[in-house]
Amino acid sequence: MKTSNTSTAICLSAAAFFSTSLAAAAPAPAGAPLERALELELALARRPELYLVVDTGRRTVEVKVRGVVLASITAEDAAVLHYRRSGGEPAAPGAILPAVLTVTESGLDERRRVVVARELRPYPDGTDGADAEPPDTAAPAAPAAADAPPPARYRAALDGGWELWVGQGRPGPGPLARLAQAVGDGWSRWRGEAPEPRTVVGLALAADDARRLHHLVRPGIRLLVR
Amino acid sequence: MNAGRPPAERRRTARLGGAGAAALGICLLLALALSGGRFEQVPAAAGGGVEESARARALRRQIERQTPGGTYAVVDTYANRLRVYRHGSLLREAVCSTGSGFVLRDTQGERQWVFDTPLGERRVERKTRDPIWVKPDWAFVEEGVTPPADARERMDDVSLGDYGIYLGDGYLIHGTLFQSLLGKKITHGCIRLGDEDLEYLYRNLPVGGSVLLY
Repeated sequence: MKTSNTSTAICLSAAAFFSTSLAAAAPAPAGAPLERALELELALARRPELYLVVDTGRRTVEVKVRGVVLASITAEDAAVLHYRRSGGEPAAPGAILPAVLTVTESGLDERRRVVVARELRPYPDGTDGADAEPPDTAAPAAPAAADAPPPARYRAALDGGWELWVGQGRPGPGPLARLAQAVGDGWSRWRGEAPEPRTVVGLALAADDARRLHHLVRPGIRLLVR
Repeated sequence: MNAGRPPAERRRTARLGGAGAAALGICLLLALALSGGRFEQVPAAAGGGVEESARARALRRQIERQTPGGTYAVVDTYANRLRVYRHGSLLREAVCSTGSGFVLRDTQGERQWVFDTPLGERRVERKTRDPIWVKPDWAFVEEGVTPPADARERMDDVSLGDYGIYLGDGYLIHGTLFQSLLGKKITHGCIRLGDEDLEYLYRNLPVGGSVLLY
């Protein structure tokens, strides 16, 4: 009985705790999001770097440079998911999208095969370098890269507290991840800590398309999400 | 306290205690989850079906003006394909080889090389027939040999094939002695082509022309 009373008290306290609100941004004027998206893309197209355009409305991911579409992937589903604390205001239309984000961390480097040269022999005197084994002799070792195909499910950290989740099925975090986020955030709220901004770009892609995209999701690559 | 109770009663008390603790834990998790929040889908920024403004059309034209004119090459480093376009029309498609993605680590010199083909746009800086490769340090380290001090020991006039198309920072499009390995990710970052495709590219892609790599 005592246990039940304690639980009820916690639940009631939680229910009374919905007070923090997110600052709502000013609504964007009609038609502005498309123009803003194009302005952002123009800035990207003026540079020689590769960029990805994620269109959640059309469910497409385009690989582009200089405005040229190099590859286009149709997603099974695509969504931008913004984490909102209970009692907080929903984000105003146009306050989050469009956005340009940079990949800050991906698992690409951790999956690389590392060859370590531990001891080097002295270069043989009087030997012509051109007559030595050609550099392509490293090639036979390389096909081992095919032993580990790129993953079909992966995540990458983007700047500004954003994340990219690529997988199959429902885009973005699954039920357990969502529960964990809510519990973790609830705990930090009880401790009086400020919320950490979290927005997820979720892409549900066919496994082959996810693998194809994987090698492009590397630190420094920019995403235009609209 | 429990010492005088019968064992059955002690077990029942323990079960009730366990169930109560579990209920408390679930309640606590629910309370935390409820006081936390949830993910909400953000509507797409630029939906279709709306007539574009003059400003939007002007922006699209500006983006189109960034695209390379004339003849340019596109390299798909995932599928290991090189395509040649002129004014957006496909002229030729070739099998190529691109960077292995391997890391070579020299523990003595504490140096490291990543064999990636660069991504994005590169411009053809120059083109040569019968290119000579000045082997960089990694080519020796990879073979387990200390790089020679004499620059003449680094000259290789065989490995690059008949033509070299220089893209800057030591990256080239060149030929290969190992044509059977075309189509694989095996290079140190350069793009290797078969003899006929290399000659075609050498003759058709001008100096200053774009190479778009993804």
